[in-house]
Amino acid sequence: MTSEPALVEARDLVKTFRDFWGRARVRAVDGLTFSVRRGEAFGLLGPNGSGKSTTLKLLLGLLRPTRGALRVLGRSPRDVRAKARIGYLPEESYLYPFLTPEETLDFYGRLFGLSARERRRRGDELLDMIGLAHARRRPVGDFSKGMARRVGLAQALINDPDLLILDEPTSGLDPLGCRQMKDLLRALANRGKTIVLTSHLLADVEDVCDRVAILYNGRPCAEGAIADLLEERRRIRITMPADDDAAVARVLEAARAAFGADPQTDHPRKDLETFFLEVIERARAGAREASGATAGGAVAPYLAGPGARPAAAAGAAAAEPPPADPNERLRRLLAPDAGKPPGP
Amino acid sequence: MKRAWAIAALTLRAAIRSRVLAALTVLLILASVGLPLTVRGDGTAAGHAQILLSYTLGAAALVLSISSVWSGCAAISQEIRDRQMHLLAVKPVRPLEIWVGKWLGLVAMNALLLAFSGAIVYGLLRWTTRPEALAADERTALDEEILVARAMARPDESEFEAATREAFRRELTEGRMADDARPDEAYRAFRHLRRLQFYGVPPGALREWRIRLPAAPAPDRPIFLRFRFAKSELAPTAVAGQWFIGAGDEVRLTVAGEWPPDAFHSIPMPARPLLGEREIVVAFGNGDPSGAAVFFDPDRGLEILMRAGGFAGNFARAGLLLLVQLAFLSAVGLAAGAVFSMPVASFVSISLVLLMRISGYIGEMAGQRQYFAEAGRAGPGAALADHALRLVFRALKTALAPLELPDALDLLASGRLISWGAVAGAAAVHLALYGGLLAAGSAWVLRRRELGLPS
Repeated sequence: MTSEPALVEARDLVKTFRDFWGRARVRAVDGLTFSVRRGEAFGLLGPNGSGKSTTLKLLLGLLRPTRGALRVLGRSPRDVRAKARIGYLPEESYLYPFLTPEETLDFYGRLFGLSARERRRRGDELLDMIGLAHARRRPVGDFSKGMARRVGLAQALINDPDLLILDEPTSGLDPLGCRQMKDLLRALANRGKTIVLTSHLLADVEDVCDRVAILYNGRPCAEGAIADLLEERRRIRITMPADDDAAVARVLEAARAAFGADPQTDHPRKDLETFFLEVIERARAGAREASGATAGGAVAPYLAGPGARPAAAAGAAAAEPPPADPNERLRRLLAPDAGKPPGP
Repeated sequence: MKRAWAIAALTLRAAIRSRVLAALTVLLILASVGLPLTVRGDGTAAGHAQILLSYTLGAAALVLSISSVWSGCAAISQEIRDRQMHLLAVKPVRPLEIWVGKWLGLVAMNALLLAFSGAIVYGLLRWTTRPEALAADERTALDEEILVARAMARPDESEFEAATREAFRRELTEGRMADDARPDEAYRAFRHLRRLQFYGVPPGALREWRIRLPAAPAPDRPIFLRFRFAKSELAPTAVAGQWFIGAGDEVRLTVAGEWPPDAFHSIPMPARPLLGEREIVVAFGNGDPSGAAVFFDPDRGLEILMRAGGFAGNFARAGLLLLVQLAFLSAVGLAAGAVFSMPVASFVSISLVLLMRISGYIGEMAGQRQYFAEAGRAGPGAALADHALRLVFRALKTALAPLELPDALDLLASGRLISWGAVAGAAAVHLALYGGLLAAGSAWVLRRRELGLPS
């Protein structure tokens, strides 16, 4: 991973907002240094006003740094050659309300110089992917926030970008939409797309990102791979069948004997998101038609990237879970061929 | 340029779907159909045609002028306010392409609306002046004076200018000018007086003018002598006199009559006696029995008009001239919208348009030497303020002078030719030169502007 070239490089980035008279009012970003490598999903976390969105706007050339160096795709963020390889989903829907999703994608496709045929093809694939093919001729202004957000995502992908910049990508989406968005982003990252996103929802960032930076008052407070930041290496969780009370008692007794204290035990729970998705899936099976967004389809086949898998595998990619835990010690302990589970 | 066309199509689509186009269409229908019903003419077919052409088309042009400035301001500033510009600016589109795209969209909208109101007015005009609805003489007068494109010629002032300069030089050398007078101001006043004399005819006197015709007269097409004068007495009684038209020293036509002052008069003359002539002499003998002198308006008071083309072509060129003006107003609005947010952008652009409208006054003020001192203020402060104000007026005059356009509707309603040269000249100055400057300036501002600043 480290040998991959950095698509985003920020060094000592400072952004100060000034008032009408040029007096410094707020230092929104203060000495931020980070880089994002090709194929990486990078998250910017922080409370409100921590400088996440300002950082994204600097990456997009919508703001100019007060100080520091910033290169995106090896160029200035204001260079149109860099912009041609970027997809951007803003926090709010800044789409034209009088355009339909089909026209919206066609318009942005024209800005990227795509041919009419290619625009039509990509538009169809993207509308299928975001589950709005049935609403392709309704004005975006009539859409719910979640539906407009899906169109926003589609326009961000129309140019098959190398770098995808997303500001609060799950904002306004229902749990189903959140799950689809996260699965889609993971699938895109697996296809070699580089992703930079901000979110208030920490679980979303955890599900999607490989690496995060946590900002506070415009300053970076922590940065690193999620696994490294979150893993408690001195503790182990074992999950096992609970049907045989005697077997469980033996395991607990062995643990007590080994560590000199009662191990913490509980019954694993599904998270609410998983439960919700199961319920909706059952409901959908019995429903006839939907007026809102339907379940998204597979990743649009044209969205290829370096190291991308064949288009036929794309459908499977959309449903892929996040990568498995890389902790080798745990793997060894749990592997069937490692012998019997720990016991007395 | 493909991106600019995409933005142009989007701008036009926005106008259609936001019902701006529909609202303007309704307004234009009301103006085009309602005004002729409410404005009373002089009862003649020519008067009716002039109302349709100047009032009705003028009202449509006014509506479109206001909408051009407003929609120009809104096209960029509202997209910046509503952040749609964020999505546009992060795409590989240059600021100039954004500006040009918006401008092309607005020009297309104006062209559609102008063509629509033009078609209504043209249809109404043709229908209300159809041959079976008019008497033969009315029809002929209409065809020869209004529904036609006539080239115009005015007296040659080159000899007058040379003689005036020579006379002024004599005044200077003979020491008849006051010591504290400024030569340029004195010459302006001197020339003004001499010009009034050049176009004045004392009672019982005859004055002649040389006029170079724009083309040799055609045998079957009449020539028109159009004139207006003021008289030296307040009584508005008609002035008796006689016109002599000829070439060289030979008089070939004479017209005697009585004409009221302060009104335009048009005398048709057969062209046959003047066939082949490119320069004619027009003379007026003032035979007024009350002994009043007459003064022809030096600017538009004495003209020869000759047919140079058909009405339909002139109508189309008038439309193009109006479109050039509307396109320029859209450019002014867009430039203001690129720099300021609403409603400041609309105030700024309306102020610019007003400055253009009073360019004549600005020209006069630029010719003055003193402003504060003339109003009784004295001292170095007044002198400094006078100097600064003079610089401002002169700069404004220099900037605005090229933007003065012939009044397309006045020319059209008086059956005068709007040449392709005039249209091309207006397009070159208003669109290529000033439009280009506005586009370049706006693109520079958009490139410098930080669109992502918190609002």
